[in-house]
Amino acid sequence: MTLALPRDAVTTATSAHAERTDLADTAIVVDDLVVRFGAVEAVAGVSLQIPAGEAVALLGRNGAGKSTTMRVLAGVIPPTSGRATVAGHDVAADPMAVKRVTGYCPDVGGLAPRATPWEHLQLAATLRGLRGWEPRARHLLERFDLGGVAHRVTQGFSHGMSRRTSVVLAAFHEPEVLLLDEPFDGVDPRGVEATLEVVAEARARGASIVVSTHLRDLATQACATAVVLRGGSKVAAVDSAELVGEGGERVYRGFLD
Amino acid sequence: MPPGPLAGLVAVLRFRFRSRGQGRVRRLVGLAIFLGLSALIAIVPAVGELPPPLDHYGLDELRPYLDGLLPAFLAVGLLSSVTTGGGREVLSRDQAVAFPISPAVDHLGALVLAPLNLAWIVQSWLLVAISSYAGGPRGALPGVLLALAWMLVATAVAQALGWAVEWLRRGPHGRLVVGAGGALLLAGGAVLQARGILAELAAASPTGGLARELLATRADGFSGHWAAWLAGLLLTAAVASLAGMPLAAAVARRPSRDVERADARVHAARPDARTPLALVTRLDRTGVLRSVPLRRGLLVLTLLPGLGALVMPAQWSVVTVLVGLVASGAALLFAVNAWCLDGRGQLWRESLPVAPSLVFDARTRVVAELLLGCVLVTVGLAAIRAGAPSVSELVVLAVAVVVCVGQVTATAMSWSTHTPHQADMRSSRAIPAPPVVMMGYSTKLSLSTTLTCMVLGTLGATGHPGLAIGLAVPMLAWSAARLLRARRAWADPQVRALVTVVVAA
Repeated sequence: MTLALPRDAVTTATSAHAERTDLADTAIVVDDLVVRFGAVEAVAGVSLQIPAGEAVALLGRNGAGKSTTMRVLAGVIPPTSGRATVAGHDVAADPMAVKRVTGYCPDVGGLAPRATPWEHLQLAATLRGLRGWEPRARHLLERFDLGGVAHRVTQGFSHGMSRRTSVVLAAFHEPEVLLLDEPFDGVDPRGVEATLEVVAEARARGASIVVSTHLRDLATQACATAVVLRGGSKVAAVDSAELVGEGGERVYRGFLD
Repeated sequence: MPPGPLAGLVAVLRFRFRSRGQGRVRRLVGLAIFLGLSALIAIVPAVGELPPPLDHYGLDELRPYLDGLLPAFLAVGLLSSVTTGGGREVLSRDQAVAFPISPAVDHLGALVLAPLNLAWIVQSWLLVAISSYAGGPRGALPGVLLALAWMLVATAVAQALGWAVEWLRRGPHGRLVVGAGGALLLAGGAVLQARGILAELAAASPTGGLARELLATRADGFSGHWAAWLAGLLLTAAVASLAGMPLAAAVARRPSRDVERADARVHAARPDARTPLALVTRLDRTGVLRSVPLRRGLLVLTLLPGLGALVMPAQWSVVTVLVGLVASGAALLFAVNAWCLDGRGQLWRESLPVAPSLVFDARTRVVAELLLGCVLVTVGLAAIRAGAPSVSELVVLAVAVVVCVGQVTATAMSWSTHTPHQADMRSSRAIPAPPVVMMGYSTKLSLSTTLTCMVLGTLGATGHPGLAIGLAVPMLAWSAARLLRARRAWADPQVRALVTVVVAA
């Protein structure tokens, strides 16, 4: 594994949180995470720490291991080796607790094809034991311009509509950890704006956010810190400001090549 | 220059089957078992006897049976191609968009895949067995060759007609036209059957002539009119295969709006369910009932065997065998790959805080419900003309229903959990697993359930239905153990992760 910055760089690179290296305040701790699918090593020893109330962007080329890392953090895929804890819960030992504290927007689809957005919300609310969830669900659907299709099956949705619905599902129970995998992919400006607002609100209430995306500009808008993965390993963890503009693009390309 | 239809088909099939990845040896072994079994079915009746319930048929009594079976083969093929909107697709809709697959290649692909379904396989085995039995040691080979040639004709004609019906259905007022046409055909058939004319018509039709020729092979072997019949059948099959190409092209010019119509439908919000299990079950159930191919498949599976038994009254022993076949057919619609129902949504479902056992139980419940529903409707329709059953027949039937539904549910959930497949169940032409895998599933399910029903039927025929109940206990215990093994496997995060990654791919 090649690291451009120290293992705890995510924490240390963010000046506002430089002093918060205490693990008690750290919402996500990933230590030497490895995920293998047969002969393929999707994640090859990633380590990072993300403090509570922090938004971190996961960047990297296709196949860098971003989505697999997100799936591990969501409790969907167990790690092959290494350790990951989310809000103090070990993803391997207690995936159910991890699922309770996270809200996850998967990278592909992420919606049951023949259920409506409202039925998705109803299922999530029931399984999470939420009461009086309907007003917030309606509000979020309207905010993401999905109010008119709340009772239509999702398999007829455009890609952008599906992405927006997935963000609503991830955010509506106000989780401690919000995991958004490619939330801006194919989404129109209004949806992008709504997603950025959701991320900002989550930060404001002290939640941790991980946003995996290929859209560097949006990543830097949404998150204060960016972690770059390459070939399943972390190669950099920098302040997002370093990746802004043309200069930022050169820096980013330097991490990818 | 683009390749011709045959070269295109070969390229697509090669891509499809190479895409299957590992398990080649297992597939070859499965194919060898299937071919070996088919060879046994073709050879044994010629020198031995037919299996029950056909074993009491004399040669003369086979005539009306063949008169019915030959056109039924065509009718079932037609129904299959009509309900799937043009037969099975050689590449799924999502994959096919990346390639210039011509309607001719699509047609040939549908033809090649047509035999890979339970109804086709079971009927072909039955036809081969009867032809072999009718031909005896001297005429079995010519008889079986004629039967195979008829299968080609029926499959090609059904496919061509299927395209024609689909073209009509996609046209102005198409659903109404096709629905009314189907209802008229059904009503006409019922009237003809009620007046006792249907059997006469079947005997006087070309298939009646073929039935006579099949029976004549016992004495004539390869001589007589055999060669002329074979040449005529092969020529018809070739003409029908070619005729399907322009029809498929015509269908391609009329886009289907079925799925889009279903997608645009508004589903009113329902109140919260009393328990999480009830809600998950409800969502899984609607996932099946809102799927166009699954809804059509369930309708056909539920009505077809039952209506068949209405037209040609079946004895209770035959109805008992139908139970296993209907349960198997229903499972092949989606239950053999039950986790594919959510497709890519499985990733999100898996991120919800819910016990894996609850998710497994809900899916199992939906599978069992659907199998049971299909079986009960079939039995109900068949019962109308099967006469009053004896106590023994009733007990055996009830035992067969419970055992088969349990057996098929356990098998399907076990396959779903241990060998998941990526499948997009949106298209009406979709299947839940690759064609070769589906063929293996069809063979295994139909053989195991038919055997189960025949054994139970044989025990019931002894006049001691208690024996059937006695046998049902270990059978149910075996199914329960298998189901519990699959449930335990599902509880393993590694297994669930694999299933999720595969079905959400």
